[in-house]
Amino acid sequence: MADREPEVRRKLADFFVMIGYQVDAVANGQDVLSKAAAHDYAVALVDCRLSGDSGLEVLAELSASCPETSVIMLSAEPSLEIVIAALRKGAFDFAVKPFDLTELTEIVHKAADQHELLKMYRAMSAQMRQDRDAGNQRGAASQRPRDNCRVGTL
Amino acid sequence: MRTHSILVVDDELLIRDLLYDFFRGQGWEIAVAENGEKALEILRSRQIDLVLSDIKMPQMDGLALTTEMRESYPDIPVVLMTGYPSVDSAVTALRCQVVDYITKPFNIHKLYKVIESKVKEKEG
Repeated sequence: MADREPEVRRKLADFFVMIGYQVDAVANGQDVLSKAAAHDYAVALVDCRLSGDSGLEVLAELSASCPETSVIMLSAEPSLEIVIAALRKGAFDFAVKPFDLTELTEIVHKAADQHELLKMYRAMSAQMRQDRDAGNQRGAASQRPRDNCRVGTL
Repeated sequence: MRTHSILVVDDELLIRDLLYDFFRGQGWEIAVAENGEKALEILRSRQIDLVLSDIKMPQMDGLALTTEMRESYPDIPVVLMTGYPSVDSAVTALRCQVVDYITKPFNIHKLYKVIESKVKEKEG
């Protein structure tokens, strides 16, 4: 979770820990990206205005480097341009401050479900590719003896 | 190369005609509908690569159409367009996983670039 306001970070972190999530809270985009490179986060809550960074740039980087992480953008006064940019950069959702915690919890649960689905889908796709490649190799191997077979004459 | 197909949904005849002529001129197959309900009928009967829909329409609007499509046609990308943009409708569009949100009046060549890139992305 990334927000430049310490009070927001503390409150949100405490809340999500209480309902069973493991939470890392940071103030700037660089910390988001370095933590995201080291952990498989299901959900990222990213404020549009971070300390020294644009949340939208962080969103774009996360979408490229951690496509399975569902990113929820946060803003106190979102403009139309910011919401459209978030949509184009692949945000999962957009929550407007001050939060209704019940609503935010529902969004985070949905985002976590989406992360699980994506992981499952990618694992299944990878398995299917592996099976197909193995099948192709078996097919090639079973043809090889025939290819190499020499027909002798007596 | 396969011909691409687009479904344009708008209650304004002028916009439907303009987009119909333009996409035909680019070699696309195009279907048009004046509201979300008619659009769903078309989606049931033919293959569509992308839906370009207005938001504000009578009977079934573009957001309701997109919500319905996420259930029945999750693989078809949707681009929404509107002459009445707002933060609320853009947030709802984002939640419906639309691939773009275009404000009217739009430049048709820029719109075409967006649509073409989204169809190519879908094809992988």
